[in-house]
Amino acid sequence: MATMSLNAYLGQVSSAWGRRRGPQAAELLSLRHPHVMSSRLQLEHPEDHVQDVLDSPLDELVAAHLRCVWAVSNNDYSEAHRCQSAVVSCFAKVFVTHKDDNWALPVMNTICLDLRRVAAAADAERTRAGQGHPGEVLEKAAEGLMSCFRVCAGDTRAEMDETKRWGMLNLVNQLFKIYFRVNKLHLCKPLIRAIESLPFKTEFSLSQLVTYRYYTGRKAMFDCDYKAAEEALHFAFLRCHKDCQKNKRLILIYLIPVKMLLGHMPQESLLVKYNLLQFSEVVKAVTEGNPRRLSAAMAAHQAFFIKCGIYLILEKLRTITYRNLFKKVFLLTGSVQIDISKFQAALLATGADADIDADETACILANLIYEGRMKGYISHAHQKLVLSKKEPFPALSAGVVVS
Amino acid sequence: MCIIGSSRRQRERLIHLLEADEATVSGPAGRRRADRDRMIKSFERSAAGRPVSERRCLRPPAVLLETVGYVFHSVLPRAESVGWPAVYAFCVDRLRAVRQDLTVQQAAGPQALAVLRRCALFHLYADYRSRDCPLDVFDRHINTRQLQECLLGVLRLQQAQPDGPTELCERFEAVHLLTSLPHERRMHERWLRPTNRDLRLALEFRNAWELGNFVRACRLAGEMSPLLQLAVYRHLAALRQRGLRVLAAAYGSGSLAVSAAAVAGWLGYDDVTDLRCDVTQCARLTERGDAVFDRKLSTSQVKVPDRGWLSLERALRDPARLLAVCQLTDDTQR
Repeated sequence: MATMSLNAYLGQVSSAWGRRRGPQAAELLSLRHPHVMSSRLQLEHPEDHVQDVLDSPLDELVAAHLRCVWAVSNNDYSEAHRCQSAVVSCFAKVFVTHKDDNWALPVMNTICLDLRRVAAAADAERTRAGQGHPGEVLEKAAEGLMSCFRVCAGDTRAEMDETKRWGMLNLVNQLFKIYFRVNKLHLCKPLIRAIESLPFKTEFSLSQLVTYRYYTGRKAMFDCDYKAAEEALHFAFLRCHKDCQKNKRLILIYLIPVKMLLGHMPQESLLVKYNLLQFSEVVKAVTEGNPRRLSAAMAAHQAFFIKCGIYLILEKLRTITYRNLFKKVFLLTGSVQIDISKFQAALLATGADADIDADETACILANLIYEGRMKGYISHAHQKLVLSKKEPFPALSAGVVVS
Repeated sequence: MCIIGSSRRQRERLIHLLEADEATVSGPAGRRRADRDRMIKSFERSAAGRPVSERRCLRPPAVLLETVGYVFHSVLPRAESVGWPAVYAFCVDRLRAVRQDLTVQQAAGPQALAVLRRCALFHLYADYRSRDCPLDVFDRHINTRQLQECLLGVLRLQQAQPDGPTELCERFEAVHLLTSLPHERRMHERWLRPTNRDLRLALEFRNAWELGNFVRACRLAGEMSPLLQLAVYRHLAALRQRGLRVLAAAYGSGSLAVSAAAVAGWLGYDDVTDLRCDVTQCARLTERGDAVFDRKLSTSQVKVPDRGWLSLERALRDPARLLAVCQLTDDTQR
């Protein structure tokens, strides 16, 4: 394979395409297959040779692929991206002409994956050189993927076995990766709508479903829909293959904060197993009801939390931390009628800002009551919190008001 | 300022009220005579077969900066005489043409950055100034979209500046942060210990907002500079809406009254009368004017209108000084 000649290669492509062998054609058009190692296939101008053997429009597609192979071998990722975009564009035009047929789906999956990866490399190259703005090339790649997506989504008349819509989820996952990288999460919404409207949305391959639920879970988390986020990320974590430790760890990075916000603290053994001890101090601080310890825990691993995009989500755990602190005040006081000044003192003693006053303390208490984390009411005239005699601090996992 | 297009627009009777010479200002629209010192190039969409902008009509960044300066110093103050709707419509169109010229020539550099900052400031000011205008005069959604376009352009040019972030860059990051709430949830390491006062206040406001701490959020809003207050203004109504529901849940027991003055202070109202008007959606008023909240109304929809803000009214009393008040008069070198 690594020394394959051009004629042999073109012969194989022609045969695979003519016999409609999707997986074989996909390998021959992949940038990760051993054939790209052959110097005889790394051609700057392969058009003439290819046109002699292959018919249109396959010749254009293969010529662009071979030029891309040449560009990658020269580490010119900007050119490689241009060529791979041409491959995808050409393929989309061909694919739409395959009526009631989806044999070429493996080819589409392969070239789209390569497009995203090459675009990421080109983006990094341009950022290092100080050209353009980060994410520019990836956004262009997203346009190419969308052209294939439109072809697949528009295939509504074919039978279940022949419909191109089976390719939608793979493309959506690729697009998710791009949109998350360029921080344009709002573009995920129409894609999610398209998948959710499919009657066979649960019949895709498990690996694709896990990836899909991972990203929809993350999106729900950023939209503060923690119930939906928990559901999606939980599914992804449970159904992710046990050997894919790296992926399971990635899912947990988002599942843990979501679960914590819903009142479920992770066990230390889980954090050890998946090498996520960055959360250990955070968990202890929240459970203990210690805002100062929480701030220190966030600061200790701030780079990690910021890089994963969960820093602000973890800041929201401060509400639960306050709740646990106030519960301690209640238990120490032994009374259901407590002066607001006692809560204020507790906040000041455990690291709250020095200028926190009674009004702000009352505001924090009011929010906890509103969210269902405490039961009771505040008497402004007496500056007291009056807690319910029955279960003044409901279990954290018992649903909260989404505000 | 728009010599080339003025004769065509004169022929086509497209001279705006704010471009007409004094003698014809009050006359019929079709009979206005152009005052060449007041004419500004208008916005035109690209069309098939017609370039977006002819080369000779493209204004370089230095001219665009002068144009924008003219809009702030000479056009905005005329709202007193011709009315804000006319001034708003005129400025939106002409500033859009300014941004179009910047885009067509892919202008970068300190002057282009200064132009975009001023355009962003105009949309921030318009959002506050137009709070009582009907939808056919002012559409907040469209204004916000144009504001975001300006701010994204500002951030892009700021990132490309060779000297790294300056104080003004950080102030505009703060503006972007506030105008993008609640969607902007990113965090950067250099934001953990900000030295810039505006950025620090914006980050603290975001934290308070996320935790629902309306008391702190309103206090922080009161401490902000006029530029930041214009950016945060759009969130005050939503903050008060949620705040009233929270207060109904926490104070809504039996017949315990809460002083209206206290609630007004918590929610950043300048006038207790306004608070008394809004609070009736989740409380009843006693004879003394205090609020008795009803817990059952804590889950109902509370609608609070956009209200004037004394702090901003004082700062922006003279529209001609808007740039100076927002400290944007000396940024063309960075």
